Amino acid sequence: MSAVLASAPETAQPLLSVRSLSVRYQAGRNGFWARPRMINALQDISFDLYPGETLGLVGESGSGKTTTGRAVLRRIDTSDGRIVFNGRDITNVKGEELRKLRRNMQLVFQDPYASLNPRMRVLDIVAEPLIVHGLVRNVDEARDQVGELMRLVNLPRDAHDRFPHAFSGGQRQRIGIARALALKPEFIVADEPVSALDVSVRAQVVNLLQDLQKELGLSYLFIAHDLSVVRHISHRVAILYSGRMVEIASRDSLYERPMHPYTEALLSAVPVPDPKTQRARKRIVYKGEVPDVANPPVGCHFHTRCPIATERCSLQVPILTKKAPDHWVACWNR
Amino acid sequence: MAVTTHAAPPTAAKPRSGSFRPIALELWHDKAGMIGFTVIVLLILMAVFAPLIAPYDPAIQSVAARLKPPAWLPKGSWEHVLGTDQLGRDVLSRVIYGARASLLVGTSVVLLAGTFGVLFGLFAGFKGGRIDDLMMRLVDIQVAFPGLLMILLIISAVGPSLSTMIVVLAVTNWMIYARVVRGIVLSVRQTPYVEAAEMIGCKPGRVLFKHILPNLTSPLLTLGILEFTNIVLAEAAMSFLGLGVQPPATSWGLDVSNGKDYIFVAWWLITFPGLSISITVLSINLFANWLRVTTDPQEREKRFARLKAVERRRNGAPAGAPAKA
Repeated sequence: MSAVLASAPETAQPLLSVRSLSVRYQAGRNGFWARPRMINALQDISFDLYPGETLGLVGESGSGKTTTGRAVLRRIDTSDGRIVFNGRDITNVKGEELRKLRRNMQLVFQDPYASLNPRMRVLDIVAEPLIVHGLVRNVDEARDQVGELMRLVNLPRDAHDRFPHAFSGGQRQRIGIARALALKPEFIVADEPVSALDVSVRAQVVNLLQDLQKELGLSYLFIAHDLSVVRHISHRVAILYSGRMVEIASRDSLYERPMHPYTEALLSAVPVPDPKTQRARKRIVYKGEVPDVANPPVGCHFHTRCPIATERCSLQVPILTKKAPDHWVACWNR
Repeated sequence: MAVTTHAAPPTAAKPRSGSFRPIALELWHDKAGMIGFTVIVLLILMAVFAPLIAPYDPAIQSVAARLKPPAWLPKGSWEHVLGTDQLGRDVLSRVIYGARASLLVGTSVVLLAGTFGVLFGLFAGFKGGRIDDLMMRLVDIQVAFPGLLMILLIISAVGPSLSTMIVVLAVTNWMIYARVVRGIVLSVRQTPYVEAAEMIGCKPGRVLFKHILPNLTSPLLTLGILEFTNIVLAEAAMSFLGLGVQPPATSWGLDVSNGKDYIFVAWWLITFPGLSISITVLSINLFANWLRVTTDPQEREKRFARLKAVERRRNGAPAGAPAKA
């Protein structure tokens, strides 16, 4: 893999730097002693994330978005590659050290209905990170801090003593965000934080995330499949396809001049809120299905569906290369 | 906040305030739960104060007064309100004294076996993989081994006594808890809120006991009650074989077993101890049902809302917010 990747707008040190990250999953075992079958969920992913920046991560189901987020948070083990966070190699951090690392990196979940323990009060949920990291001794001591967090995410103070089921989806998601913010992390992985919400509350939550970023200087890895939301919130965007990164670029560059044929197709599927323009647009649809991750094609994973594929594509894996300023594409023919 | 303006009860809002009154009031409003609770308390009092309440010594035999029917039947007398058994012992006194062994054995075996089985299942389900495989095979082995044989072996080595019986019954009855708990843990472990707990840095112990275990309350309560009945009957079987409660002490189960032979001549021998078992189980059931709802915040609020709706209807006011079904 080429050493340098999408250089950031500023020359500061990246907060998170991922190099040739691969993740292999066990896919069941045929018997007690049998060797498990392996599936390559993620292959050779590299990117940098700078302080105060949002990197949008886009791809269809099964493309490895969530796996990337979980691997970066060290929630699942990596099989190859390196993850450097704040100048420290955290690829193999375990146990107590990993637990301490949680103070700096947090996760916002996709499903606000399932990610809050139904038997805990909001106060207990939001105060728990403070308690388990020994920042406060008990819930009562955390009351003021939790109140402050509630203010940050625009929840009423009287929410403290209620249970999660008393809140709407958007409110629950904000409780989840408050929980993630409790430890004042620098880096948050937002795993499709708005895809389970009503369209009407999506904007609220996305804007909240943006405001929090400005106020607290957070960095986000924003995972989504909704391209318009990603365009709204991200500074840079990366596109995943079948476990590989096919394109990474600054937002405007990617949305205005997509280079990878897969990205082109993705962007053409985003509706434009203007009937005339929408009618005039051409929707690019490629034949075929996403390859089976357990048995992917040789070479470029996209070549079976690609209109501009050549023989080389079915033999060699394309390398992510710089094609324009701050624009990297993995395609032999572009 | 339009979501629940009508269902934010003061009691459910502060469930762990530690004060006793609101909880007691909540129980008072739930008639079935209250009846169950009262009967349980009465049964316990009866067992504790048996010597003061019982009209006779349960072991005193009187051949002259054999198989007397209960007082309200012909030939019955108020000297023996529930009649006498084949050895002329007073059935009422035996029922009162029998509560001691039955309640003690039932609850302590359920608690002992339950605690061990739940911990075993929690650990197996939480660890997963080979450890889980191994632990569950152990459970399979014990399930396959005949329980009564095991009881016979242990008792013949140690000798029968009440505490031995409790331990032995716990040893042969913990597996079902392990299996049930392990299964639920496997699914609860995958839920996002458990992942969230791990993500914020909870240690495994906290994840298990603060996030997973509380969400097992309902199935465990149900299982515990079903098992209680089983244990009372298992105790009867053991006592019948002479491995459990030793005469002159008695238990409900033992009396049911002994009275079996006289079912056609003296139905009261098995009816009253049997009835005691049913009443105990029924009242525990009623109380546990209340407890289950009380430990589930959402169910608890629904119950509160229903109560408010009923009150409003009774006061003649138009039913504003209908209770959630």
